[in-house]
Amino acid sequence: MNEFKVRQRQKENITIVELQGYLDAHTAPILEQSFEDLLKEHRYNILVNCKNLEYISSAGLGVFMAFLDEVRKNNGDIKFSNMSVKIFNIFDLLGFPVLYEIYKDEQEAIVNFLDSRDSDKKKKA
Amino acid sequence: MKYIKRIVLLLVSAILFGSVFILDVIHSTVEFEIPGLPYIREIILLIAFLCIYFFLRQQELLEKISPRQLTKLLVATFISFGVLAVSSFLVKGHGYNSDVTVHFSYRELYGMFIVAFALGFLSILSYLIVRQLVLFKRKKWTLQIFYFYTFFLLLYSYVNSPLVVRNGDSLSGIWSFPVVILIVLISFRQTWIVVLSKREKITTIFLAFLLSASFIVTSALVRPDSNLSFYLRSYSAPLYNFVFYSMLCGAIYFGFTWISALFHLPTAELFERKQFELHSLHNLSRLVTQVFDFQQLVTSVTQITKEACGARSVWLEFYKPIEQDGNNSVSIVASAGISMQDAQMLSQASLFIQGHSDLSKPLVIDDIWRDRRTKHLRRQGVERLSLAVVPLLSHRNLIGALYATKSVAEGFFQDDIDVLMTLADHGSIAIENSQLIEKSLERERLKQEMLVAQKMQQRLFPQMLPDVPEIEISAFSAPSYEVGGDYYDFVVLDESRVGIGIADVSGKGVSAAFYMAEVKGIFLALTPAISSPKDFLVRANFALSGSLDKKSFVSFLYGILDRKNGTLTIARAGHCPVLYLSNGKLEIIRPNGLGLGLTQEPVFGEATEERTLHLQNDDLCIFFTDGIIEARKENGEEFGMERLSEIVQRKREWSAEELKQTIQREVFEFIGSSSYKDDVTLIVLKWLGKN
Repeated sequence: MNEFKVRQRQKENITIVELQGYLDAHTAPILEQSFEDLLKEHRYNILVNCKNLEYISSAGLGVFMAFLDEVRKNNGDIKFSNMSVKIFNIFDLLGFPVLYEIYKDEQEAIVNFLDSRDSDKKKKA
Repeated sequence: MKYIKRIVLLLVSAILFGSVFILDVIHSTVEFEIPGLPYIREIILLIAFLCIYFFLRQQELLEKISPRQLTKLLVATFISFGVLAVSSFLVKGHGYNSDVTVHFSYRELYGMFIVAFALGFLSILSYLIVRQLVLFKRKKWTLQIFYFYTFFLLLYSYVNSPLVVRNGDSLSGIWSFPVVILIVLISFRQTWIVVLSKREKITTIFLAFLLSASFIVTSALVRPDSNLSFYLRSYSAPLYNFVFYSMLCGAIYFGFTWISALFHLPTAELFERKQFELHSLHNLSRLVTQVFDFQQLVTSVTQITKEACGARSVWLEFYKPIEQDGNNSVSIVASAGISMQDAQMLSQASLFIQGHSDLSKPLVIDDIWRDRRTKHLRRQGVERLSLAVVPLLSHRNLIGALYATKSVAEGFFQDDIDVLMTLADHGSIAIENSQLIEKSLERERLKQEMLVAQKMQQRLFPQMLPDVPEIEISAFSAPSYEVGGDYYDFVVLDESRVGIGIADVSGKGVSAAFYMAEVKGIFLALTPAISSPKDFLVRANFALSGSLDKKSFVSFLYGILDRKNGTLTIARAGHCPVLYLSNGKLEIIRPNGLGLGLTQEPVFGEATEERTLHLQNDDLCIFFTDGIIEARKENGEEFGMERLSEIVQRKREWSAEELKQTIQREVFEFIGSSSYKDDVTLIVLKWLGKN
């Protein structure tokens, strides 16, 4: 019931965070710690892969909200991919698609990360 | 009652002795022979002395053993001497001749009687006291041996008398051997001496010596060939035997006593100390159940330890973990017989924690003037001491240490350390107990606070449902813990419009409850002046942004019902959709929207839309929080939208109240005994029709 794991992968300058299991008030601190570590290492491009995420509560959603400002301030972003219908409904009900980019699969998300990086460079140039 | 018994016994014996005396007087003046008279006489005497026995025994049973018993006996022997002295004036020195039947004068008879009574009394008293001493802390066979002694003593007494045996029959003398052997056996039972105090032991030596000497003297006085023995034997031969061997028993027994007490003397002090240690341990273990105040406890532990060990000084060091930096604070919380500074100096110098590989073992410094850790203290004027430190352990964790010093070097031996460790163990239990009780009291206090909070939050919910003739409303809300983050409310805006709000603060428990109260405040403050649900949500979002923390947000659904027009306009800030049942058709009303506290204008406003429903008669609107939908069984199955929809559609004739109760019941039945915990809220609104 309260099994939750976080795994990380690196793809170029994007950190892919894989969530597995139940993300609720009990297990949210695990995710919080992961994000804190990422921010400490200045890794601001975060893709959250929800393929194996069974359930998310408001506590879990709160974790993303807590780090969003800092991440975007540093020209990074938190994007989501591979959500199940059930998980997407939870995000959608609260209106999260307005705030976050949610993609069907990882590849699409990665492409968008790179695009925005390039567009940033273009802006600067 | 007891007094009556004793008086009766005395009276009976007096009567019996008197009768025998009269009989003797008559017998010496008038010659007559009644067959069997001597036997009857002996029986009467036996009964008379038995009365004396029971009279004395009444008193002896309950007394505690102390040298007082010996004193009593000694007094009795001196009185007997007095009687013997008096009697010597009454009886002339008759030649010892057991063959001749002698006629005794009245004076002689009187003298014989008082000697017989005095020595008989002394023998019985001595028998009872020896019995009490011998049977102290008795082993299995002790009682048996004493019964044998009694049996053989009585057997010999009667067998070796003219009643049974003619003079000159030496075989009867054989029966004296078992008596003597048994006397020696019972004389070894001197256990009662061990538990006396040192002072009592010394007193016992003197008393026992005197007693033994007195009994030797008396034995000599009644030796078989003496004058006295002749008179005593003439009075009653069994009595004479009994007296002689009782005196012998007394001489031997108390002879063993004073020698034994003498040998116990060197260890008397140590024995007293051990008893005291035991007593202190007992006191300490009682502390566990009686004293809960920490300071009182450690002071008592220190005090008792000092007394128990006969220590020069004792102090208790306590380690309190400080949460913030994880280091322990070490402080001396109680001390006896030493100043705080000196105690601190010695504690630090002894390096109990630092220099120790196994903190569950004690540390002993035999001489602080010589030990390399502490010898520098000599220069600072600390006296010569030996130091012992034992750990205070609770569940294998070191919670402190108990220090003790003695005024001599090498003052601590293994048994001293054992006592210290036992005291420390009891102390640890007591300390832990007091801490647990403190925690328990605190928990109880918090529990009470939560119950108060629960009552207060109950009052934040509508105490009354709006009385509007066009609608039926029913609602309930149940927090998952004592308090929760769900909220619903109604507000009558004017004659035609009623506002209906339902909200869900993210999270559960106390933090969500605080936000819930704020949400209510905002609801009540803003709704009267606002005619558009979307407008309300925008303003509410702004109002909340200041106080909500980054991780928190609030879902809100606000609807304005217009009674005159029969419309319901809804805006949804991230909340669960509305279930709308109209004419048998179920629709899920879900206008776009974003939770409150997630973002600001213009994003929030742009994401939020309104939807207006035109209500028909008997239309149903169900407002709920996600606690209803996500309610889980043991196996993880969720209640779900389908189940809710099914219940809503089940019976069209149900009132709002009936529908609410059904849903409420079925949700909680569904949850059953599973550990599911979430705030649950439901509003059922039935539109009856325009007036």
